[in-house]
Parts: sequence; C-alpha cells; structure tokens
Amino acid sequence: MTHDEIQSLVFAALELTNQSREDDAQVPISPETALFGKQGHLDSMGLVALLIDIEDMLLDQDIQVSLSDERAMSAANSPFKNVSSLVEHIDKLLSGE
Amino acid sequence: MTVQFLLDKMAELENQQAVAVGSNVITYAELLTKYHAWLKWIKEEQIQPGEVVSIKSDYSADSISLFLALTHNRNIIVPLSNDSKAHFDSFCDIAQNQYDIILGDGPVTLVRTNNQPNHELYQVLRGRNQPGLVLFSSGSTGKSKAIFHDLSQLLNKFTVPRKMMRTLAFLQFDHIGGVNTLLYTLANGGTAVVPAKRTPESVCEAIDTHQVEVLPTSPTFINLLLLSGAADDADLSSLKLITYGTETMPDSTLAAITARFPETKLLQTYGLSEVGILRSKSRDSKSLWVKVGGAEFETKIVDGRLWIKSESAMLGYLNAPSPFDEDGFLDTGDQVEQDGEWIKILGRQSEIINVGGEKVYPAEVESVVLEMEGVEDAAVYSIPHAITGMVVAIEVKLNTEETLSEFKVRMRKHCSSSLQQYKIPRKITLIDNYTHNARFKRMRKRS
Repeated sequence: MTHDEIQSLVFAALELTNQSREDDAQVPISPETALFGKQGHLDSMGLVALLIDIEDMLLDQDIQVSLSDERAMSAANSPFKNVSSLVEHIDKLLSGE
Repeated sequence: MTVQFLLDKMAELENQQAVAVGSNVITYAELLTKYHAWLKWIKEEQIQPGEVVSIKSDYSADSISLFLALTHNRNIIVPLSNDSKAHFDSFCDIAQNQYDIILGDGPVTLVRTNNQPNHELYQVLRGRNQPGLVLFSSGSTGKSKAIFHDLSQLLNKFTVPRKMMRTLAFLQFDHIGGVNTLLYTLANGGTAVVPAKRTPESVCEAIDTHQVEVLPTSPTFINLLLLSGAADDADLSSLKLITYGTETMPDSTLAAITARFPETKLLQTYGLSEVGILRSKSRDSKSLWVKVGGAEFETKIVDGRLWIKSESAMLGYLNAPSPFDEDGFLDTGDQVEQDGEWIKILGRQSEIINVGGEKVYPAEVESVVLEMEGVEDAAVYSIPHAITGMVVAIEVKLNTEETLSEFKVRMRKHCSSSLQQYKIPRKITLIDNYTHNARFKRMRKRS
C-alpha cells in the first residue's frame, strides 16, 4: 500500500468513528489531527477502537497486522500522537521495517 | 433399597402417564413392567453390583427404566446422551466402564470391555454398597471433568413429596439438571415430556400436545424461542412455570419473556453438577434476585464469590483433585451481588474481562447487544491488547444485511447509552451460526 492509500484508510476509519460520536465530539479528518496524548481527540478506549477498525479494514484487504504491539507502545515518539504519525507507523509495519 | 420409594409411588399411580416421547405415551404401570424386565436381564447378563455401566441413549421409557434397574442393582451408572456423542470414547475411558449398553430403535446392544475400574472413589462407594452416577461437565471452562456422585444421596432429596407436575425433559440424564427433572417427576407422579428435538418448534409442539406445565430451560433457549416465533403457532397456555439456569440470564431476555408470557411464573434455578440443584426462589418473575438454599445446603459468600456445601455433593472428580475446602464448601466460581438473603449472579469469575483495571461481565454486555433489532445471538469474549491489557470482543449473529462497518456504528451508538465505554465491544465479528452448545448454553470464545 502506498502512503496515500494508508492515509485514506485511516481517514475512512476516522469517519466510521465519527458516525458513532456526538456532534460536539467529532474528530477532524486531517493529517494534523491530534489523536492520543496532548490535545488528542481520543481517550484510550477511543484509540483502541480506532486501531481495531483500521486492523479490520486492512484485514479486508488480506493484510493481517497488529498496530499496537510492544514496539509501538515503547517508542520514544508515540505513533498515536496524530494522524500523520499513525500513517507513518502503519507504513513502516507494512513495509516490514 | 434406594429406589423403593420411587417404585412404591409408581405402583400407586399405574394408569398415570409417566413418560411421553413424541406421540408415544407410557404409563407408570408400563414403566414398572419394563423395570422388572431389565432387572431380569441384568441378572441374566450377570452384571454385578458396583460394576461400572454406561448407557448410550437419549430419554426413552427403556432408558429410564434401565436407569432405575441399574440403580437398584447398585451399579455405577455413566449416562451418555447424544448431546456428548463426540466425547463418548474419552468419557468411557475416564469412567472406565465395564459394560456399554447401547439403546436405539433396534434390540439392545451390550458390549463388555476389559476395563478394571479401581478408582479410589469407586472403592469408597462400593464400601457403602450404594449406586453411583458419573456426569461430565460441559468443558466450557476447560477440559470436561468427571463428577462422581453417590446416587443414593441424590435420590434422598426426592423422598419429600412435592407438587405433581407435567414437565418438559429439556436436558438429558447425563446432565445434573436432566437427572433432577427426571427424579422429581418420578418421585411425585408427574409426567416427563421428551420433545422429538430440542428446537423451539419441537419444544412448543410437545408443550401443546402434552399440556406441559413446567419448562426447565436456559436463557439462550428462551432467547431462541422468542426469536423463532414458534410460540405463536402453538397453544402454550398450559405453561405455568418457566425455570432457567446453567448460565447468567441477560436482563433483556428476562424482560422479553415476561412480557411475552405474563401469566407464566419465571423462576431462576441454581445448581452445579458437583453439588446438585439447590431449591430457589426468585424475588419475582421479572427479577434476577434469587434466594438459594434448601434443607441440605449451606452457602457462604467470600470476596463476592458464592460457596456451597451440600449433603448430596459429589464424592469427587475422577480426573481432577478435590475442589472442596476443609469445611466441605465448594467454590462455585460465580461472582454474586448480595442484598440480605437475596443474591444476583453476575457471572463466572473466570470469564470476567479486565479492561485497563475495570471489570466487565460478559452477560451484561450481551444483554445490551441482544436488545438491538436484528441481533439473534451474541457472545462476548476478550482479546489481549497492548493498550488496555484486554479488550471486549463480541461475536454477533445478525438477521439483517448490514456490513460489519454499518453494524459497528449502530452497535456503538446503542451501547453508548447504557454501557460505560470500557464495556463496549471493540472487536466485532459477524458469525453465521448460533453460539450455543447442544444443551443451549452459550459458548464464549476463549482468548
């Protein structure tokens, strides 16, 4: 998958999240959107849900991957900080880095 | 003679219906005749007291009368119904049966094995010169355990006369609930009605045809009964009492069944293969609060978990260490809430899901999801997750054409109004089949 395809997939997952969120709790669909941590739009359960949704969408394309393994949790720079860091993280995982 | 009180009762009520299987109805006199024929057969085949005998059969006049005859002969009985067909070999191996009696449509088959059963618990029972019963746990929490009872003690509790009832034999005699239904019925001159199949349609037909008064069943079956609409095509007005047990009742299913059968009393039962079925009383039909006990039972609650001591408890497991504490209490593994003498069963300790330090009981989540339009069945389990330790996962059987994404959105919206965020299932799998086993107990996946 290309970087852009991964980003579209993350956007689609965020749209899915937004569908079950209140109007005043919508997550902006943009690469700069803060996800988890400082000024993040998601709490831990929200992040878990988003990651599982993305994993489900990847599974639809026969890609089996876990986005929240030990390595991600211990990274100095959290891959879940914002949308673009998450896209980077997925890109790395898929290219086997 | 431990079965004498049953035989006396049967002799009194000779023209009364004892067992109805499909359209075939057997009176107590006929059951008694079959019983005597079996006694003669046991003698001819030289089956000795204390020997271990398996019966492969579902409920029928033949299997019930054989069960009584082997009880009289003080055998160790291993009933094996078709519910556990896949495990026949391993169960026989654990029980070390010396005889295998197979009942079917044709003549009886008797197979002698070379087993030499010398389990120490068997020796204890033989020393008492009493009949025994081997039951197997369903294995929903691990491997099946062989539960060994002194059958005379199980029978004792039925010597106190109670109400004569026409009862549906929902579970077979290889399940403590099935044994309980059978013995209660025979001891009180009632009628055991065996449905042709354990489907909602077949059960409703049996209730209608034989004017059944009591339906002992499981919450899962009640859910299917409501979904199937089978109750709409049959006259179930004879039904006075529905009892449910073996698993935690979802609030949503209880609300639906009491609304559908406002005239029928609902009673929660509580029992374990290890200690037998306790006498119970629900606070009212719509309540999950229940009082459990009875003359031969003692209960205590330690750290929110229910412990039971019973005079009719098993002697022990054939294939596991004794689970009793030094005072003879057994940890049921069921987590309960207490309000004076009333308790509410929350679920099994082993099935609690710990999400970031918060406890989730599968039954509570299932109840909320089962309220949703189009959801036929739901079973909650856990998956490990690096962020919260565990997360709640669910398998759902839908009768709608929704995609996974569409259902996710609908389910999350629905759950958000009645469940805390950590209880809402994050991993959702749509499945095609129901999640229950042959005895209509919900089988949750293990992570």
